Amino acid sequence: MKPFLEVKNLNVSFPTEDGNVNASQDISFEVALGETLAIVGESGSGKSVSNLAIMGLHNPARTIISGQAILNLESGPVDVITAPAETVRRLRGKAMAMIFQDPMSSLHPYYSIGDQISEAWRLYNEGNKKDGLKKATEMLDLVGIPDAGRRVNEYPHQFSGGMRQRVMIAMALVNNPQLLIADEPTTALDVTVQSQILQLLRDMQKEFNMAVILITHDLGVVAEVADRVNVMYAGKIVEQAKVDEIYYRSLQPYTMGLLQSIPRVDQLDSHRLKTIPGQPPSLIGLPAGCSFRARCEFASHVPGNLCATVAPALEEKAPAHLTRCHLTSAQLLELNTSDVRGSHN
Amino acid sequence: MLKFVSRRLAYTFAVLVLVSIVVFIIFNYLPIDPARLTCGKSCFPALIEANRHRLGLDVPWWEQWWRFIHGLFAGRSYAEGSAAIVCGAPSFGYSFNQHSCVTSLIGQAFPVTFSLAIGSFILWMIMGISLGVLAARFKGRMPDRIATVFVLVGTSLPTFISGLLILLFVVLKFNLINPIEMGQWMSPFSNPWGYFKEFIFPCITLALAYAATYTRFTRSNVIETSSEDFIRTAKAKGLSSGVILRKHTLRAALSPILTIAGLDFAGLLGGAIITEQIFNLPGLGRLSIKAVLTDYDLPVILSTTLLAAAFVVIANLVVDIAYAFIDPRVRVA
Amino acid sequence: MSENVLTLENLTKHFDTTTGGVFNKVKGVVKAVDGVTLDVARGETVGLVGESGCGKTTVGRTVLKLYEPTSGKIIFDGQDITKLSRREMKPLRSQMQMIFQDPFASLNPRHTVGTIVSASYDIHGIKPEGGTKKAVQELLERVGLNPEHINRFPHEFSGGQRQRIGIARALALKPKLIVADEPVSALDVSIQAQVVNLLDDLQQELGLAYLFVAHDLSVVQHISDRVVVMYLGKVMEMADTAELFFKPRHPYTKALLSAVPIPDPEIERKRERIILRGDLPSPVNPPAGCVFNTRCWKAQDICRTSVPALVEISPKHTLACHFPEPA
Repeated sequence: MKPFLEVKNLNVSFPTEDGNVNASQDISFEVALGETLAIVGESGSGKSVSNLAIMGLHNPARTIISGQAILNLESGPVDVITAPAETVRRLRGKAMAMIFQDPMSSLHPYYSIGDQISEAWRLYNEGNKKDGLKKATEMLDLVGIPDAGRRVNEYPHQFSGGMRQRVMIAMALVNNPQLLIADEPTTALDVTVQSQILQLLRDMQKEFNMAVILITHDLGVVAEVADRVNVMYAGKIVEQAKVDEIYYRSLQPYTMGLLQSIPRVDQLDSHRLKTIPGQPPSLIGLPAGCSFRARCEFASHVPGNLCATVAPALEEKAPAHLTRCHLTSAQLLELNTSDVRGSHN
Repeated sequence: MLKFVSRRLAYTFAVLVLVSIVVFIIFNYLPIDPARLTCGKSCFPALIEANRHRLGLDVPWWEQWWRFIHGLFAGRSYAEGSAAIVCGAPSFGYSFNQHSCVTSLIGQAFPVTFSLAIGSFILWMIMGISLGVLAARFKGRMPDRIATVFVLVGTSLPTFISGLLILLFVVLKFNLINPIEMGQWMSPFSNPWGYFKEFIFPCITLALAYAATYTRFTRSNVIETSSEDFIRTAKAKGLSSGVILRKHTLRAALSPILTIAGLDFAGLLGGAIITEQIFNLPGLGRLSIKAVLTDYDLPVILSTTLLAAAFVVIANLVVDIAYAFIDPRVRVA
Repeated sequence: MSENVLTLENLTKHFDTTTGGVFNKVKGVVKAVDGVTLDVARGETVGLVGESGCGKTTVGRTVLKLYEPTSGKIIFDGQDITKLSRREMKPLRSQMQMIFQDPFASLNPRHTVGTIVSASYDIHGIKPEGGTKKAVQELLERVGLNPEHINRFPHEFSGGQRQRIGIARALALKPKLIVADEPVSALDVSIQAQVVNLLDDLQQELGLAYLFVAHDLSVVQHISDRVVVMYLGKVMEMADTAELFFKPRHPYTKALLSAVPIPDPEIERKRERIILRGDLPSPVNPPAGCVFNTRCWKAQDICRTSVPALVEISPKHTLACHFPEPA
C-alpha cells in the first residue's frame, strides 16, 4: 500500500524585488497513516513553507510552486499542487487539516468556540446548527476540555493558551482527516502545557489513525514524538531518516552540530557548548555548492573544491537514511562517533 | 450586559448635563448683550431692561440653565397676561427674532437634516465599503487603482466645490429640479418623487466626501484582517473564499468602521452647513448659521449646539452597545 | 564589601487591575511577585525559572527598579536601594544592566550601533580612556562583532548579532550585575549556543553576576550556578543547579523537569512523565494555601488551607512544600 502523502520535488519560491526567495527546494518525502514525520529546522529553513503549499494556503499571486504532492485517497490519488483550486479546497479540513503555532490569534475573536468548530463540521456534513454544536461539544470533550457543554458557548478570549490549542485540534479533527499538519503547535506554550498537548496529539493520532507532520525547531520535541525526521537547512532537506538514525547515527554535519549545540536538562555539563559558527545564508541567490559549507567544520575533509562548486544531492548513504553531503557514509560515521565521544567527556 | 448598558446610560446623561452647563457658561461670557440686540435704533435703556427680563436674561447663568432644563421637561412661558407666549414641553426656548418657539423651528428643520444625513449615510456606506472591499481583494490591480483615484479626488475635493459643480452642471443644466421648488420641504409621504429629487443630489455631494474616507479605511482594514492568523485558519478549514470574506474577514474588518460611522452620522444630524447652504435646504445647519451670522438668536444657537452635542453623545452610546454585541471581548470587560 | 551583589528580602510587587473608563476603580490586585527572598553572589549566575505568569520577569524588572517594589527590600552591593529615587539610582544604574528577550524591539532602529552602545557613556557623562569610538569598537570586538560595523544600523544585523549588540550595550559601563530576561529564547538553536557561550566567557573574564530569567530549563541548567523555581509569584524551591535538577524535592520542580523534552529518543521512550492537570490558575485570584495545590498530585487538605513556609531543608537548598519528594 502506498503511503498517504507523497511529496516529490516540491519547490516553493517567492518573487521579490531583490530576486526570487527560494524558500523550499527539491522537497521529497512520504508520510504513511499512523506515522509521525517531524520536520525540524531553524527559522527560514523552509520547514513551514512546503507544508503550507501542500495545504494550498499560499497566495497564488505571490508564490511560485512546482513539483508534486500526492494524497492517496480512497477515491484515488490527487496531486494537490496541480489539482484545481476548488478540488484542493474541498480536501482542506476533510482529508488534510492543519494547526498553527499561535493558538491565541488563530481563532476568530468574534465567534464562539462552538460556532467555529460547528462551521468546520457542517461544511462536510449534513446537519443543522444544533447538530453542529452537539458535534463540537463531543470534540471538546474528546480533546480533554472539562465542562465542554458549557464551554462550547464561550469565546476564544475566555480560554487559556493550552485550551485554545486543544480547541484548534478539536476543530482540525472534526471531519476525521487522514493528514494532520501541526506547525510548531507547542512553541507558544509553557513546557507543562506542551507535554499535555503532545500527549493529546499522540492519543488523537491513535484514535484517528492519521498521518502527522510535526513542524518544530525543538529537537527535544522531535525525540519525544517522531517516527521519522526531515532535517531542513536553507530551504532543502539535508537529512531524512528514522528518528534513532538521526540522533545516534547522523550522517549530516549540520544535524550533528545542531544536536551538540543544545544543552540537555538530563546531563550536567558545565563546559562550553559546541557551536555552529556563523549564521544561515540568505535564501536570495544562494551561492553554488553546499549551502552549509561556510559553517561546516568537515568541509576540509572533502577533496578538491567540491563543497564550493557542486551542491550535494540527497542520497541514501545507509539503509533508509538519506543525506546531502559529499563525504562518504564511512567518513561521516567516523566523524560522528569521534565527535560524540568528544562532547561527552 | 444590563449593567454595562445602564452604566453607559448614566455616563451619557452626565456628559449631556456637563455639555449643557458649559454651553451656558460660554454664552454668558460672550462680549455681546443679547438684550441690546432685541430692539433696533430706537432703543432706550428701559426697553432693553424690559426685554432682558422677558428673555429671562436678568438672572445668573445657572438660574438660566435651570429654567432651560426645566422648560425641556415642563414647557415654558414668557411674559405674563395677554402677551404671554407659551412653548410647551419639550421647550428649547423662544426665538424673539423669528417669533416662534425654538422647538417648532427645530421641528421644521430636523426632518430636512435627517433626510440629508440618512440618505448620504446609506450612499457613502454602500459606496465606501464596496469600493474598499473591491480594492482590497484586487490589491494592485485595476479596481484598486480606480479606488485610489476616487479616494484622491473625494478627499481633496471640498463639498462647496463638488456641491456647486453638481448643482450647476447636473441639476440646473439638465433641468432636473425646478429652481423655484428648491428649498421647499417635500414630504416623502405625500410627494415621494419630489422628495427624492430634492435630496438625492445633496446626499450625493455629502456622500462623495465621506465615501472616499470610508473606501480608504475599508481597504486597509480588509487587507490587514486578511493577513490575520484566524483567516488562515478559516482557509485551512476548507471554507470558500466568499464565505471567508463575508463571515470572517468583513466581520472583523468592518467593526472598527462602525464606531466612526456612528459618530459621522451623528455629526451630520447636527446639520450639514455647507451642503444645506448650496442646495438651499432649510435644515438645522441653515437654522444655526443664520442664527449666528445674521440674527444673533441666542435661544436657537443654544439649542442647536446642545442638540448637536446630544446627537454625538447618544451615537457614542449606541455604537458602544452595538460593539458589545459584535465583539464578545468588550462584553465581558 | 559584602559577598552578595544582590539580596532580595521578601520582595513583593503587586499590580492593580482597574476597571478602566473615567472613574478607573481598582478591581483587584495581581500579586505578580509575592515575597521573594534570594541572593546573587559576585560572579555567580542565578537562574530564575517558571511558567509564564509566575513573576520571574517582574522580579528582574523590580530588581532594576524599573518597577517600584510594593514591599520588601532590594540590597544592591551592600546598599539598600528599595527606597531610592530615580535621581539617587542614577549612579547605580551603570552597575546594573539588563539584556532583553527581543533583540529586534530593544534597539532603536534609527540609531547606529555606535550610538546605541555609546549611549550609556553619554547618559552617565563618562569619557572612556582612548575615546568613545575606540571603547565601543573594543566592546563590539569583545562580543564577537566586527568593530568596523560601528556605523551600521540594527536592521543590517541578524537576530544573534543584535543580541550581541544588546550585550555590548549592557557591558559598556562594566556592570556588576546583569539581569538577562530570556536573552536567548528568540534565537535559533544554532545561534543560542553562541550567545550562551559568550555570556559564559564574559562572566569569567569580567566577574559579572547574572540574574538569568528564562523558561527554557535546559539553557538555565547549563548556565546557572543556582536555580530558583517560581510559581504564581512565589518561590517554590531554590538550590544549587545539580541538586535542583537531579534531586528536586518540590513536586512542581519535579513536574516541570519531567515535562522538558530531552533530545534523545531512547530516553524519551522510557521516560515516565508527570503530566500536570489543567492550567495555571489566574494570578488575580490565586488558590488559598499552597498556590500549587490545584495542580499537585500530592495535595492534601492542609495544602488547601495553609501556606507552606520556605525553609532550608539542607544547606543552600530551600523549599516551600508540605509534602516534599523523598531526597
